[in-house]
Amino acid sequence: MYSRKLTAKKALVTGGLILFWAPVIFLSLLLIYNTLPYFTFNRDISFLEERSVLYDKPVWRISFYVHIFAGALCIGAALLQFSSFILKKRKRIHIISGKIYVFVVLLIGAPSGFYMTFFAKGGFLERACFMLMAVFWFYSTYKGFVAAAREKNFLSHKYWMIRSYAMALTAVTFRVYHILFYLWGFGHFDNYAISLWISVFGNAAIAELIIFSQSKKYLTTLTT
Amino acid sequence: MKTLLIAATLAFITAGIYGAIDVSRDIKNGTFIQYQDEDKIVVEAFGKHDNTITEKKKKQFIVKNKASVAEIKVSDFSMSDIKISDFSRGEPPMLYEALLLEKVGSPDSVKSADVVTAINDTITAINERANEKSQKDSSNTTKKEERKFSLKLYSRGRPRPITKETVAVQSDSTKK
Repeated sequence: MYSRKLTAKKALVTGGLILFWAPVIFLSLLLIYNTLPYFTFNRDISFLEERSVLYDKPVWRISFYVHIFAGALCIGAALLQFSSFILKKRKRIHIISGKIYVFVVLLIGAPSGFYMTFFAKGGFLERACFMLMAVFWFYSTYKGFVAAAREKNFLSHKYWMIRSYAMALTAVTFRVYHILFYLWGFGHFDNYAISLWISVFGNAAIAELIIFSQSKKYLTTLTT
Repeated sequence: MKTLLIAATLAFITAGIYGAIDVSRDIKNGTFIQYQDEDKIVVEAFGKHDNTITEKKKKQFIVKNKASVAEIKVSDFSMSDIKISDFSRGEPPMLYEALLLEKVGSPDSVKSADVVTAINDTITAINERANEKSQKDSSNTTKKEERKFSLKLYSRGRPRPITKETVAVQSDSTKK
């Protein structure tokens, strides 16, 4: 009887992991695929057409291309980071892709994104939300890297990297919510604002829930 | 590692400071991008609730407006018969169409529904002026032909009016 319960529990956990990771992997790869047209450096793409005034600014233009390149690279690199198989059997892959993720986020992804938040679509609150996201993305990646490389506190490293990945994944979840609210019949700007807030705070909440379920002393994970 | 962390922190802070300066500069110059305005115009133009306006409709509307603004050429605002008394501070006085265009702003930023009507007024005004001009120009076609002929005569591209004297000088030089 006990073994049956254990097997059922294991099956549930595995099923949950598949249900979580299958769409995450698929949508992440789709996002990377969708960024490819931007590297033709053609401005006739609707996203850039809307920002034609900004596109004429060299700093914004460079930041944009740097940011999408960094975004695609860090989302791709992060896909390998949470695999327990790679972590146990192929630790070298985890270290290399982890370093790529950290360097890309800290040196180019977050700074270029932070600059672009000042010109982000939406009102003051939406820009503030983007800024908050950029700051938290930078801070969580920084803390996660320091915890592993300097303090050798791998548990803290894991929790901060979960937070960092949650922020990186807002690019994916934002698009999902945007499509869902569009189908629901929301107006463009309402849809944009709601999708943004839900993706940022929703992802942060999911990350905290995962950390809370895994850690014995949740509050200490925020300080260490 | 320390170098990386310091470089990253500096890059992040610099991006923030530069972004803030850039935005303040844009606000000061009145070139700060306003995304919401475009949406509001569409809503005003259709006179319906935001939810009923599809993206396709919005795009069509914006493209249409941009095209109508693009039709207005700078050459249409060229002035003729300028007098010194018309100038204040050395600048030519603004035409009605030019004033309207200034109200409209750059072709990229379609700001309000009023602008659309202003653009249409401008286009009709320009067309009327163009018709008047074309009527006047038809009488002056012979003069233009003479001018073209004179351009061909002077290889260095300096057009000079053909007078009896110049013809006489040319004929003398050929005799010599």
